[in-house]
Amino acid sequence: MTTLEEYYAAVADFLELSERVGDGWSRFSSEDIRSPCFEMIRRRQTHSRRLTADAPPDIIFFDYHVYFNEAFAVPQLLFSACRPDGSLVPLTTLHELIPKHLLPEASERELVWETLSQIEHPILHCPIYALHPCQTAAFIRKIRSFSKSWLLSWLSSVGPAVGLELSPQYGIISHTDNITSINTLEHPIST
Amino acid sequence: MSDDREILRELWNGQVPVHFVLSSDETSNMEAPQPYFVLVPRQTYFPLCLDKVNRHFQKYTTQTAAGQEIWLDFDGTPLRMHYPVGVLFDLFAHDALLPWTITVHYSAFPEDELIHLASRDAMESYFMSTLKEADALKHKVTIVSTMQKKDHKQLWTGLLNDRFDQFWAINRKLMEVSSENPYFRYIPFRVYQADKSFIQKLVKPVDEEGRRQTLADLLLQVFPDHQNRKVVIQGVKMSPQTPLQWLSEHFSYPDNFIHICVHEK
Repeated sequence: MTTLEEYYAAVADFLELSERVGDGWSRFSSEDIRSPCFEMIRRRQTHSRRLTADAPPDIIFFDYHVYFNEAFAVPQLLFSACRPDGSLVPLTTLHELIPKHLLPEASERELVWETLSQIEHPILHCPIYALHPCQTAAFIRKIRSFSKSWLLSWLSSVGPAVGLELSPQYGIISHTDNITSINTLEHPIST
Repeated sequence: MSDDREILRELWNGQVPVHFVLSSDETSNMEAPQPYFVLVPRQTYFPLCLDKVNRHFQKYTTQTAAGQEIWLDFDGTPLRMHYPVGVLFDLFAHDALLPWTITVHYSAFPEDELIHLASRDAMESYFMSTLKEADALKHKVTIVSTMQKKDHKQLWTGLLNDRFDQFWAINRKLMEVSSENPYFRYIPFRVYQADKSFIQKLVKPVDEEGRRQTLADLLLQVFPDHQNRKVVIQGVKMSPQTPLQWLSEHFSYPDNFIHICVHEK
């Protein structure tokens, strides 16, 4: 479990690092937020890939949000994914984009649905994709035993499953002894 | 909670009368579509009971509408079908003429307002994740995570097939309290008002001094202005003196949340 204060402190540290890296994470503020604001941070990113060499590029605009989920007492990663024409990228496409090495072998259809689905945004109340938070607490507990930058370690572990890229600059800038390899840990999105 | 078990069954059996009409945007001009009347269980979700409605209207729709994802509106407001049917009814139709008239659409799905729930997988995933959230609020060591996969399935199929005994055989474990620990950690609830987003907060069933908290205490935390409001839960106008723990055990929807509909007087 993470307390709200610990999360606030981790967000402040993370934003300081992000500013030095220059990748655009910022605090989200909006006047029409009625619910208590759990210090949401956001970053936009464009994802472009070609399925084959001569195919037109497949472009997705991502908008990533991290906020504090009070029920599970952990940070949670939410995101929207749109095409250049403004249409939503369907969930089934996003399920296919999850790199296979991040899912356990013989991953069942069900497991993908338990990992990533569409929900009502807990703060903005629009539809949004969400990585489920039930496995996060155990993962963060492990990370915090060796990493001071636990929010960064968590985000860089779960993010790639949904296209979020974090620059290697984070590792270079922050003290190398803070960011130990997390390869030895069970991955948080595998159950 | 065994004393009040009859309440659980009464609430489970609650239904709302719905009059579905096809949106005029969707009709091919061959023949005027007949409306469709049906009683819908309060505890379920619209995507789980629209198969017949769908079949009924498909024959009237235009070519382009065929095969598109169904969505509903009441009086111009798209219905968030991830809320239980009873919540939507208490929120929008509490003083409407019965049967409740809902318009069926196939084209122009409002993606910026509604979640895609066309597949059973999507609805099951949404339901189970809400139930897990309620469990995490109620128990420090969650119960769902200690259950077997088949128990998860039984909760879902119990709701899907409208089987009270099947559902409650498992749900009982999520609602149980013991004499040494008679309270949940927090009360899972959401407060709804028409035209506004729902409100969710951390509220405990007892205060610092160990006094039982009531619905009035909860409402004061959500609306500190003391204004007089009409409060409806599961179709029942609820007394403000109702203890929260009792309410959570008896008036929660299958997702284990108390969904509270509030109307300005």
